[in-house]
This record gives sequence, structure tokens and C-alpha cells, in this order.
Amino acid sequence: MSKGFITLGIDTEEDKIKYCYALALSIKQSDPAQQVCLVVDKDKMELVPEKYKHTFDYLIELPFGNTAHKDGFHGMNLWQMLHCTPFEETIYVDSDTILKNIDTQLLWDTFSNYDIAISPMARTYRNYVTDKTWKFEIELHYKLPCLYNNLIYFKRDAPMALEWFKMADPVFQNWRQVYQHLFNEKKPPTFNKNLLGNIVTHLCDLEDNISCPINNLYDFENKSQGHWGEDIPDNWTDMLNYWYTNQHKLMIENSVVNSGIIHYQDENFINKDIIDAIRDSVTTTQQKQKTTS
Amino acid sequence: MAEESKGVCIIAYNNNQLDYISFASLCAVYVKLHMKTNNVALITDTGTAEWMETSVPKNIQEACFDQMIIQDVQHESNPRKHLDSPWTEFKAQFSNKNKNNVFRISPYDKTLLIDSDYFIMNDFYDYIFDTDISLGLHRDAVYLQGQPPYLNEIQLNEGGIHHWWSTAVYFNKNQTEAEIFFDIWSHVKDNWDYYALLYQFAPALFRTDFCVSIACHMLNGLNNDSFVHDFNGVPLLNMDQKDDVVEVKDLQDWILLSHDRKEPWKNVLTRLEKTNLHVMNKRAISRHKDSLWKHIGKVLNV
Repeated sequence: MSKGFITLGIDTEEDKIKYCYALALSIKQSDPAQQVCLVVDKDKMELVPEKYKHTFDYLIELPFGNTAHKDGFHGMNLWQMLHCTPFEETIYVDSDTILKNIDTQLLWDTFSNYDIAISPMARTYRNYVTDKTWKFEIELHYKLPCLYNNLIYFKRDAPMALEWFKMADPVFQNWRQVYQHLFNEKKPPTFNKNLLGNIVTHLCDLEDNISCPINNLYDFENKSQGHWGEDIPDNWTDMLNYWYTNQHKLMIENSVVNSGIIHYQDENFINKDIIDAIRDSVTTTQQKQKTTS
Repeated sequence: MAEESKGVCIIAYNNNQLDYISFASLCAVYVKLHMKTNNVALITDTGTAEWMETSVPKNIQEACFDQMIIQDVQHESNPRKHLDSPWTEFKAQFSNKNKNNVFRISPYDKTLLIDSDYFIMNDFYDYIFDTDISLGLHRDAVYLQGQPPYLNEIQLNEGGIHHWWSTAVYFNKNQTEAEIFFDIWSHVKDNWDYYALLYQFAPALFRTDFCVSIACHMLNGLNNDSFVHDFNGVPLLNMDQKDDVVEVKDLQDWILLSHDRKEPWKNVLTRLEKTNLHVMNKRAISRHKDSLWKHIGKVLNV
């Protein structure tokens, strides 16, 4: 069965695809044999910078066009992933994520018994289990599933995966109406892809079937990190010191993240130095493999 | 291979406010009565030992300690604010800077180092002497009614590393990991200001809890992993300095007052039976010393 990672990259005025590029490089750094597919806006293939293309095995356009072209919430296109993936088994990853020293085979093995799988747990940069009270405030209030939808595994032809993505189509495209119907008390302030993913899971009644704990999934959303106060900046890079070395080592304050799927969520984190460091380590890994073979 | 020696070490240095040797004697008897591995070594200095000669009868000394190790160290000034209930506070010297030397001076291969205010009321720690574990400390703690520790007892600062407790430290001298742990502890002590800056905690009071937290953090791969044994996740039970002892009904049956943190004039009576207890209010121990010895006398005939 063909397997690979897929991510969604839609450029606006600024280069957003660099985050997909960093993600793809990091996947190749973990395992150069892994396939990566970048999904872009329809008829906007030329927006992918030439220098990034070598990292992607597939460049695919959104089959139904960018359904978020009015709102600008590009996560609205998540429902199209099943319809455009070139792989029989796919891991969808948010573009603001990097993989670091992951055993990809173990990851595929973990998912192998599921038709569609999403993790109900994530860790902080200090390796604690995240505090869900802020990120999942709405879900907890309405007793919805609390899953981390930045990483979704699915088998393209599995009925359960088809069901989930079929439900995702109207929910993601009509999120305002969905909010209106479901939320009478607390209301989320704006489009929230993670919340909508959990609504889809709830509407399909699939939480028990698709919950698959991934122990090395990290979520750096600042208010979920177990800091003492709530009066803290939204971006963790405004608050915490961090270093990313050429040896592919990420250190935040006094804690090291040695290995994991890191949903950093803060675009200030990825800069040219980090991209260069990941690219250099990919090149080194590939050279090592050539030498060995 | 010769069988490894096993025992408990207690460190006690008196100051002009607190009679640590009397606390250590009580804690030693508690070890003797409630643990199977109950050799106890006292680590102290000449002044404290001389005070013990005059204040503690010989037969009680012999009942408490199997060995006494005199280590005269220069106690650097380390004043600590103590509380006795929410309403009384006093300052006393906190002589804890040579605690890391226990690795070198403990007479046992396998040692459980306990603070002189830690009352062992059951045999919980016995299991560890029959294992190959190199190092063990409490990762978490709770207070009398199950209240969580204060924030700076959970992590060293807002974004900081996890706080570990040096109240009970188990180590096996024959294992390298334990030696590395005490080397790090010593290094942190010698470079206290630097580590206070690096790990962002207030340097004013030297705290061994912070030293062991840094050492555990390093041994756990700088990412809160589980290399250091945490006594199977069992938390340390603390009696706050603002709490009090009401009555010692029996050696393993204490009645305490647990204060309310938000409204400290409110107290809840709490009864503990056969539970190890870290009595942080030292003056409360002093107040109940006679009662404790009375109960001990009935059992030990001393």
C-alpha cells in the first residue's frame, strides 16, 4: 500500500509555503524514504517557489478549489484531503508542524489498525501532558471530543474515513451555521479548525473508534503548557527562550525536545536559520545513507 | 560478591532555635519501629553530638542510632524563615549544605537518606532495598488534606523544570548513576548563583530540593523523562509549617490541624494513621516531644 504525508499550503501575499517546506524537510530528515505531498490552491501551482519543489514528491491542486478564498481560513479545505491524496494510507499534518527524529515506521505501525485516527493527547515542551482547559474550552463545555486534529491518519478507501470526510465537507464549508446551531451559550470567537474537526467526530459518533494516543505528539499552544498565569502572550516565542541547533536539537528554556511531532503553531518560530539547519541535516542524512548503501 | 549493606541516614545540625538532634532521635526510632531495613546512622557535628550527650540519655541514643558519624563542616550562613502556624514566624540557620556528602560518608551501600523531620510510620520504603534501583526520590508531594504543593514546589519557575523533593533520597553507592547524581548536586551547590540564573529561581535561600531537581532534570534527559525512580509515583505527604499537631494518640496515629490557605484562620482536624509524614512545622514536633517519647517508651522500654 502506498503511504505518505500530506499537507496544505496556500500562499497569500507572504510566503506561507515555507512552513510546508520546513515540515517536508523535517519528514525527510526523520526518514528520507517517506513521501510528502503538498496540496495547493487550484491554478496556483506557480506560487510554490522553485527552490522548495525538490522536497515534495507530489504537488497537487485542491480538487474543488479553495473553499476558503473569501474568508482566508485556509484550514476550511481540510475536507478535501481525502479526495486529493495520492496515497492509500495518508497522514495529514498541519503545516505549522515539524517532525523531529521520528521513527516513521513505528508511527505507521501505530496507526495500522485504524481506518482513521486522531490523537486525544499531546505533550508540552516540558514533556508533561498538556492542560486541555483552555484549548478545548468549547469542547469541554459542550462535551465534545477533545482530539488534536493537526495530525490525522486515514485510509483513503476505508468506509469510516469516507464517513468522516464526508461529514467534514458541510461542517467546514458552513462553519458559521454550524456554530449557530450547536453553540447556544459559549461561542468560539472565530473559525477554529481543531474545534470543527472535533464537531465532525462528534456528529459521526466516532470518537471511540478514532482516538489513537500518540505519545510523542507535542502541542506548543502557549496556554496549554502549564504556566502559572493566564495573562501570558499568545505566541510562546514571545515568552520562552529557544534554541535550534545544527544537530537538530530543540531546546526551550531548560527543556530539550529530543524527538516528536511538534505542532509549534507560532509562525515566528520557523525562520531561515531553522530551515537551513533542518535542510543541512537532511543532506547529511541522505549522504550517510548513500555511503552506507 | 559480599551482600550489600543497607540502612538509613539522618543528618542533624543544631542551631540556636531548633533542636534538630531531638527530632533526629525521634525519626530514628520511627525507622527502627516501622521499617525492616532499620540500621540508622546519624551524621552530625561535634557541637551537636556534645549536646546530645547531655540532652539525650545514653540508652535512648543506643536505641536510636547504630552509628554516629561526626563531620565538622563550616556552616555558611543560610537563614531561613520558619512558621509555626500562620501566626508565628521566626528565623533560624538552615545547615543543609553538606547533605550531598552523604554519598561519600554513608556507611551503607544502599542508603535511604531522610530529613530529621520525616516520620516513618510504615514499611513503604523497604521494597527499594531489594531492587537494583540506583536512585530514588519523590517527584510529587501533597499536603494533609490532599492539597497540591505550592507553585514553587511544583516547578522551579513559571516555565521551569519539575520540582523534586530531597526529603527522602535513596541511592546505591555501587551504581554510577547515583554517583553522577551526587556529583551534579555538588556542582550545583558550588555554582549556586549561576544555576539560580539559569533555572530562574531566587538564590537567597540555599535549597537542596532545587539541587536535586536540577540533577534529576539532567539525568532524565532534560525532558522530564522517567529515568530517576520516583518511589512508584507515591507522593510525599507534607505537613505545612502553618499546620499543627493536635495530639499524638499513638505512634502511628496522629491528629493534626490543616489550615485553609485562603482563609488561614480556618483549620480542619485531620487524622493520619500509619502514614509517613514530613512534619515541616518543627516547633510542633518540639511541643509533642514528651508525648512521643512516652509512646515510644511503652514499646521500646527505654
